[in-house]
Amino acid sequence: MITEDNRNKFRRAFLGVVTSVLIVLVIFLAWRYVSITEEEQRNKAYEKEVSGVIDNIETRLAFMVETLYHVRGLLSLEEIDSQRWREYFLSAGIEDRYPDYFSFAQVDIVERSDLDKYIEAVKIEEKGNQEYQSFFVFPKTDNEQLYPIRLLHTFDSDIGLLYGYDVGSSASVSDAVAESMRTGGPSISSLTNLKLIIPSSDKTGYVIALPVYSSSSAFELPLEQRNRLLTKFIGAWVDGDKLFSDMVIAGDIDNTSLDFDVLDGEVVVKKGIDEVTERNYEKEIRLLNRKFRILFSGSEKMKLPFLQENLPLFTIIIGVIVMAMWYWTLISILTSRKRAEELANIATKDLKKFKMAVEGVSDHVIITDPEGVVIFANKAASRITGYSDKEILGQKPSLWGGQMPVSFYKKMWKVIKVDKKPFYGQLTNRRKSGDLYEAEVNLSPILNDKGDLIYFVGIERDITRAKSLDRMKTEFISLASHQLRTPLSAVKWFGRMLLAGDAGKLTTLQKEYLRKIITSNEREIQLVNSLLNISRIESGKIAIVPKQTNIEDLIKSVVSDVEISEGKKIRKIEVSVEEGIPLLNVDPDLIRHVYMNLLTNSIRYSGDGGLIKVTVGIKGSKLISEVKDEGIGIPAGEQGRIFERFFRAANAMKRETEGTGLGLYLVKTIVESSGGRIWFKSKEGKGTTFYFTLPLTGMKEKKGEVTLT
Amino acid sequence: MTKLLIIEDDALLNEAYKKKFEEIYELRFETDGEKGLKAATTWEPDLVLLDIFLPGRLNGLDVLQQIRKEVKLAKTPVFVVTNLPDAEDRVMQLGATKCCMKTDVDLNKVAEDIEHLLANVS
Repeated sequence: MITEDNRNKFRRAFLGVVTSVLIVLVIFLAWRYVSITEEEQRNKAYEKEVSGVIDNIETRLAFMVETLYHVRGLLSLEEIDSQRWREYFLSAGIEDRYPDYFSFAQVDIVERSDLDKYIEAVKIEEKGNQEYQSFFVFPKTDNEQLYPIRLLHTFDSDIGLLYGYDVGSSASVSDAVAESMRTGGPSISSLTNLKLIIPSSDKTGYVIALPVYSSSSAFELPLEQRNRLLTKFIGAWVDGDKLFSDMVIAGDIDNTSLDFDVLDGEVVVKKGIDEVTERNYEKEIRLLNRKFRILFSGSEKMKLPFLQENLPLFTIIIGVIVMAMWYWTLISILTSRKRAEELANIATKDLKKFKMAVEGVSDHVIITDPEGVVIFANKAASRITGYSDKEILGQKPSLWGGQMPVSFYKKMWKVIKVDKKPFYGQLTNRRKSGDLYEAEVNLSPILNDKGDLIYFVGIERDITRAKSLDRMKTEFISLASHQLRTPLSAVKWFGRMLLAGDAGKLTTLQKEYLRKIITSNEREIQLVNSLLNISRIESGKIAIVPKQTNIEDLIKSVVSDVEISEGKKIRKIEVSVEEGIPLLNVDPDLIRHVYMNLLTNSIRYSGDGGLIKVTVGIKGSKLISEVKDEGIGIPAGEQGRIFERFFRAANAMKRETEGTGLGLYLVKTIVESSGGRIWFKSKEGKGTTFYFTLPLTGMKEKKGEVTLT
Repeated sequence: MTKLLIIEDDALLNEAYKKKFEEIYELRFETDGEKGLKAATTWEPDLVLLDIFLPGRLNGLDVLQQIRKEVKLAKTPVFVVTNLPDAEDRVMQLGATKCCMKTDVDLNKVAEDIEHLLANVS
C-alpha cells in the first residue's frame, strides 16, 4: 500500500538520485569544457607557431621582392657596372638580415646578331675587372633573343659561376621570365635544379624574375607597347632549402618538436619531418602565385602554464570533492531527518500516550481558558458529573458546581486568578441527576513565559465513596473494639463478683486461680485498648485537643495512678520539675499516656529496690522529660527494635508475662505526632532512662473523630 | 422501691446486673432502644442504665436524646455504661449524668456510682 510516508520517501530518494546525476553531469561537462578549452588553447598555440613560420617565409620573400623592385628602380634610371652593382648591395645590408639566402642578377636582353658586339661592350665596360675579360654567353642555343647574366651578387660559389649564363636556356626560368613580361611584376619559376646548369651542383631553388623598363610610364601601356620599353630583367635566386630554413621562432610551445615539410606540388622542397606524429597540420601558402603546401608535424609537448596544463585533472578532483561533499551533506541531511522523524514519532507517541493517560485516569480532568470556559474534559469528567462532553465543553464548571457558599468560590478564584497559585480544597458538587457528591479539587493556573494566565487545569476527585469508606472504617474500629470488649467486661464483672464472695466463700486456691483469670482478662482488655489506640493513631483519626496544661500536676496525677494500679508493692517515684515551666498547650490525655506508659514500664522492669525518677526541664525551645529507672535494662542487641510494634525484649518477657509490646510504639507515635522526639539510654542490668521532648509552643489542634482510650 | 431501668442487649451482662441489683432495686430490663425508650416513658424509672450499641432502630444515643426531651424524665439520671469507645464526651453533651467503660469498672464500682447518683437526685 502506498502511504503518504512512503510516497515522501520515494520522492526524496528520487530527488537525491536526480541531483546526484545532475552533479555528475555538471562535473563531466565542466571537465569536457576545460579539456576542450585546453585543446583549443593548444591548437591556438600551435596555429600561432604555424602562422609565425608562414609569416617568416612571406616576410623573407617579400624582402627579396622588395629588393628586386628597389634594384629595378635603380636600373631603370641608368646603366650600372659591376662596381656600382657591388657597392649597391653592400650598402643595402641584405647580408645583415639574410646572409647567404639570396643571389641577385641583372639579365640583359641581347639579339643573337648583336651577341659579339654585346660581349665586346661588356669587356670594354668592365675593362678594370679581371673576371669579365673572359666573359662569354653560355650555353649555346638557337634562340633569337638571349638573356645572359650580366651582373651577379652572390655568396654561393655555385651561383658565382653563372656570369654570362643565358637564363633563356632553362625552361623553368624562361617561363618565369615570360610570365613576368606578361604581368610586368615579379614572377617565380617552378622548382629549378641547378644541376642542369652546373653538373657539380645539386642545389634546387627558385628564380624570381622582374622586368626592367626604360620608362616608368611603361606600366600604363598595353602589353605590346610596354614590351617595347623592356630593357632588361633582374632576377633573384633563392635556394629552396634556405628559403624555408630556420623558420621556427621560440614561442609558447615547445618548438623543438615542431617540424614541417614544404612541398611544391608533390616535390618536397624542404624535408623537416623525421617522423609523423599525431598532431599534423597542413597549410597552403601562395608565394608570387605559386602554391606551396606546408605540412606541419609536432607532438603534444606544447607547454601551457602549470594550472592550465592540469586544469582537466583539477576539474576532476574538484568534481570528486564536490560529489563527496554532496553525498556527505545528503547523508547528514537524511540522518538528521531520520533522527528528527524518530524524535517526532516519539513525541507524537508520547503525546498520544499522555492524552490517552489523561483520558483514561479515573479523576475528572478539565482544562479551561482564563475565564473558566471548559476547552477540554476527559471521560471521567463526564462520568462523574453525568454531563456529556458536548454539554461540558464551552460551559463553566458552575454547571456542576455552585453548591458551596459564595465566599468559598470567591476565595478560590482569588487564589488561582489573582495570586496565580494552585488551589486545593474539598467541596460539594451536583451531578446532572441532581445527586450531590463530595469532591477534592486541585486547580492549577498555567502561565506562559511572561507570567500571563493561559489555562486552568482542574483535577477533581469524587471522594464521596472514600469518605463513606472512611466513616465505615472508623465505625468498624469502634464496633470491633466494642464487640471485643463486651465479653471481656462480662468476664471481669463476674470474676470480680466471684472474688468478692457474691457467690459464696471461695477457698484460697480458688481465689488464687480466680485472680489469675482476672489478671489475664485485664491484659486482654489492655491489649484491645492498645490495638484500638494504635489503629486510631495510624488511621489519623485521633483528635488532638490541646489545653493549657500544668505538666507538674499532670505528672503527679500519673504517678499517683501508677503507684496505685501497679501497687502490689508500693513504689516511691521521685518527681523533679524545674521551676518556672509555663503552662503547656498540649493534649493532656495524650501526654498522660506517654508518662503512664514509661512509668509503668519502669515499675514493671525494676526489682524491688532501685530508684525511679521523673525529671522535667527546659532545654532551648523544648520541654525535655526524663524517666529513669535502675531496672533490668534493655539488652544491647535488642535496643534497635524497642519501639517496634509487638516487640518485647527477651529479659522483659522472662520477667513479666504482662505487656503487649505496643506501649512504647504508642508512646513514640504520640511524641512524634506532637512534634517531639523520643530516645533512651540503657544498659542491661543497670537500668534505663527514657528521654522525650515536646515543643514549648505546644501541640497543634487537630480535628479527629476519636480520642485515645 | 427505687426503679432501675436497664437498657442493655447483652444477656450475660444483664444477668450480672440482675445478680448484683435484684435485691436492692426494682429492675426492668429492655434489650433494644425502642422498647427501652418506651419503658422509660411509661415506667418512669428513678435511674436509667443505658448501653449505646443497641439493636433496632434506635441506639443508646437516640434513646438518651429522646429521654432528655421528655419533661417528666428531664431530671432522671441516665448512667451510660458502654463499651463503645469515644462515647463519653458525646453522651455527656447529650445529657447523660455519668458515663463509664464497661471494661474499666466492675459491678461494685457501678453499684457505688448508682448509689451516688441516686443520692444526688434526692
